[in-house]
Amino acid sequence: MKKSFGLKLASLAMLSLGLVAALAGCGSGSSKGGTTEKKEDVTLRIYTWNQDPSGAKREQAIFDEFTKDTGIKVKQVVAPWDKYVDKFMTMASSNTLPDLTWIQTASFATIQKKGLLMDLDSYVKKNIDTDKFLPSALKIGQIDGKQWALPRDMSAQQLSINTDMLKEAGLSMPKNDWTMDEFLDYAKKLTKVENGKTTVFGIDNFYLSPLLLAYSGNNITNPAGTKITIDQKNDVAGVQFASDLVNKYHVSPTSAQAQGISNMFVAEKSAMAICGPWDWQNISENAKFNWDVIPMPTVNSSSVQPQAGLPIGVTSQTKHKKEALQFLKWLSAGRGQKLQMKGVGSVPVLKSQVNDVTKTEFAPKNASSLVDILEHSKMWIAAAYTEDYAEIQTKANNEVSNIILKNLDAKTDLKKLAKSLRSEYNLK
Amino acid sequence: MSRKRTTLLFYLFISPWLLGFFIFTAGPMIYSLFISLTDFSGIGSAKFVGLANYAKMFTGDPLFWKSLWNTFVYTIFGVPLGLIAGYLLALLLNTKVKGLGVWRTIFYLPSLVPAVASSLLWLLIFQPDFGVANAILRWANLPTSNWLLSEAMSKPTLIIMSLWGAGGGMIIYLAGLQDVPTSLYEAAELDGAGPLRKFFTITIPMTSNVIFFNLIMGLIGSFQVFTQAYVVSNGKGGPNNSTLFYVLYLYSNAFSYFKMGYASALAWILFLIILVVTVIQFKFFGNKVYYGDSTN
Amino acid sequence: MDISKVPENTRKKKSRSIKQGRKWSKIISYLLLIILSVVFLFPFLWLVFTAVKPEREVLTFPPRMFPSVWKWSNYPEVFKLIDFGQYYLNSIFVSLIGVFGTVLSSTLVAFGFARLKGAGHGIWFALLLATMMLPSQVTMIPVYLIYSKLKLVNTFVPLTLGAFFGSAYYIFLQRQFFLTIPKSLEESARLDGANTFQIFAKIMLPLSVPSVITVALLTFMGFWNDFMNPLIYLNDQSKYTLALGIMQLQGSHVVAWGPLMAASVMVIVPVIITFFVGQKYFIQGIATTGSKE
Repeated sequence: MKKSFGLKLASLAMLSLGLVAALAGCGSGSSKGGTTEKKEDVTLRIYTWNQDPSGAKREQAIFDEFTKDTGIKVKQVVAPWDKYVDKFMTMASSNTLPDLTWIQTASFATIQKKGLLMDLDSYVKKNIDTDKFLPSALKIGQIDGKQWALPRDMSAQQLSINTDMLKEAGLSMPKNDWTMDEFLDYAKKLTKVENGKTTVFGIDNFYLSPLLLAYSGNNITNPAGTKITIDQKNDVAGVQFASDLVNKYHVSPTSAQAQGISNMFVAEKSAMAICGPWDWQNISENAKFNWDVIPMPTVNSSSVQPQAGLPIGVTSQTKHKKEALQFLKWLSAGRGQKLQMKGVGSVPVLKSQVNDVTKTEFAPKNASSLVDILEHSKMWIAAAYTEDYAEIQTKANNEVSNIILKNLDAKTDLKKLAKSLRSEYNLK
Repeated sequence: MSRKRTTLLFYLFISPWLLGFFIFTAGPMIYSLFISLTDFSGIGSAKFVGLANYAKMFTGDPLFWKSLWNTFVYTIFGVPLGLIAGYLLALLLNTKVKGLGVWRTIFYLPSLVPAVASSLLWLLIFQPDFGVANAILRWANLPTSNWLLSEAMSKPTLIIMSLWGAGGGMIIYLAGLQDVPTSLYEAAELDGAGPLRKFFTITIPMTSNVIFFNLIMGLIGSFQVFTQAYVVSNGKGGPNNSTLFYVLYLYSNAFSYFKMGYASALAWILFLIILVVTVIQFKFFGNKVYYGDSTN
Repeated sequence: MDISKVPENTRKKKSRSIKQGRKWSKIISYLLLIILSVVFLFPFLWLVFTAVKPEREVLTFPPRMFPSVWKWSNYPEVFKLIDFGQYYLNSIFVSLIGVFGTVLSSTLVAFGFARLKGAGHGIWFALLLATMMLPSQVTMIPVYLIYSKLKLVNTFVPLTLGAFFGSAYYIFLQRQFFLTIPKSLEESARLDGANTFQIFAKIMLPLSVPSVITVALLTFMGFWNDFMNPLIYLNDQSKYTLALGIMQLQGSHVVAWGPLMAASVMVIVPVIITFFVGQKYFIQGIATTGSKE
């Protein structure tokens, strides 16, 4: 009697333990691939972000082409944009980082300084013809002059504009080198009010960084990240303008008016919006109106165009260094460039290919203005590559939202903000 | 069975929980106390810093106080309101109405809706520009609000959202109310007691155990409010940190800023607060609670 | 105990005025019930109708309850916008494992606490109750660090393993039920030669089907609704559970209130079905924990 009871209990315990073990195996089985011995079995993992699975699927189709070329398999680890860095750190702490990673520029230096990226400097010097790249394309992957990542694409933020609404308002397409004053005039004329309620805004939320770049060429800090600049005269004017668009001219929505509408432009609730080439497909597929793009308006001689670009790095925790580098080269300087342009509309970083972006399926009429910026304009990626920049940016953005929300005086508030940022991060 | 054998069997049967207690509760608590004394990012090694984390919390971190204040406000208004709403619903259902099952289901179901889904729904309802809440107010010629996007209204809005789940408490009160012997009311009626007196001398005291249970669990739950605030502010606790609740701040420190030491210190302070509040409740109300004549 | 049966009111002699008062209070009760029902049901209705609205109509002011065209395609749209099917499977998997683990461990432990008064019984039981009040955040970080060291982050293990070690609340609930089973059954079985395990498996368990169902249903909802643990432990979108997955619709590039509400409906439906299937046990189970301390 005694024995059978003990046996049963033991078997029950075994059963539950077995189940737990099976569960553990089941959970981690799919994420293996770090310890393969045979070369032909290598599976690289690349960390990417994407909001919708169709986007992730389009990326995967490109990666699969690499597998066709080389036999090396590629698996994506996808996280949402706003959790991207958090999850990167999570994986880093358990030593399970993927082999390659897309990089958000604001936190590029944060992860590099923690030693989580591989130094690509000597590899690039030996294996990549850097002259082929557009000027400043390689720079978005450099920290302190050393190469830590290679660009997958390079572009600039522009404004999308609803040309049907332009026509309706009796306006012609603005010139590529328009000024902020002309922009404001357009925004006012394109805003529609019915029964005291704004039905169409001239411009969707004007992000802080392109505005600051237009006003001063800085973005909270100077490009080197050594100096807080947000309380300087031009920067204050930029923030004040952002607030005025909402609170004085009412041509841009308050946070309350914009809440719950993730794309006002497509929903025909705004006539203009910040737009990068990565948005083209989405707009083309969803907009039921004619549209085009136009460069950011300039303010003065310090104005700089908002550069955008996606650096890709190899993590220091990779166990397939050689294959990872091979993949990176394929993506940044190889066949991947064309495929990415066709598949996801990314602008090539190679001089020889950059013009092709105007011929892609979703390119708007004025897409050549983008190429023009990339080849000739002064640009900045709008993120200083310093360890604390991401935090500084978050804090500044929160404060500016607050200025706009409560219609505070920009000058006094930014003075306070700058003072606290300077003391907290020990900057000039 | 011998006493010894009973003891052996007892420990065998409770061994899953016992193991779990040491692996998932006691052990981690000690570990957590240790981490709270260090500067630790989860990567690399922890640096011992003594009580610096606790010192920073009380002297150099306005967001700690802000999050504590937010949680306090949410709790002090939300818990009693939820308690009263649930109790009133239960009273209403206890008036021998027809179709009890149907009414009960209507009031109870909302409390089962996953917090993420309900928060997203409320986000739409309280959307200031095209949400139905403002539409109704405007139709009734009442002032509208920016709700979750207003620093002053964000917490009240979250409390309103939580009241939708008042049916969860209602179910427990209803069971308690139905356990009150009718004979007590009859006796009181013979003594000439009116409805109000009956309510305060019989109904409330006889259901004090369920009220007490709900109060304790409600406070503990309210101190840990997270999901709603996370969803409506997209994890940021805005506007202007007005929905930055304690656990949301703790989560951000641990899993966004990777300040594991500081977050652990925050967790311990939360634990102490809940402990003190619970002990106070037992001290003040514990002896006034009627536990019925159950044998355990 | 079936709480829907209200004790019969047997008092018969009443004065006319009291009867009149009763009648009025009845009318007021029903009126209040109807008004409150409308208030409680309104968000549900808003959800269901928004789920079939074209986006344009969601964004118009003043909003209307009913869509002009019923856009059923919002439902399939959800599967295009996010990997909804995958999230659904993940949620079902995690919830079922969680239910299995909790039921298994909670009944075993509850039996120990209900029937075996071994040495130290009182202390452990007090500790069990105390853990119900312990905020999970105290152990969250160290437990996370342990899973992280074991490289189990981004798997379902951290979400489900704990279930196999019992949960204080469900152990307590189950124990309360075991206590209501008469000891005489057990004693006669013992005379027939049954051992303790047989008594647990062949007498106690079959007799406590209602409470086991209650625990199973409550656990299912707990796992189904869990947000914080998936948020902390899951990195890769393909591993997301529903609670985490539908959050993505909020931030996606496409304006998607209709599909978002459609997704919410699909997340809520299993919970509602669960409720109706087990309604009787469910309400009783919850009431038991609350009222008998």
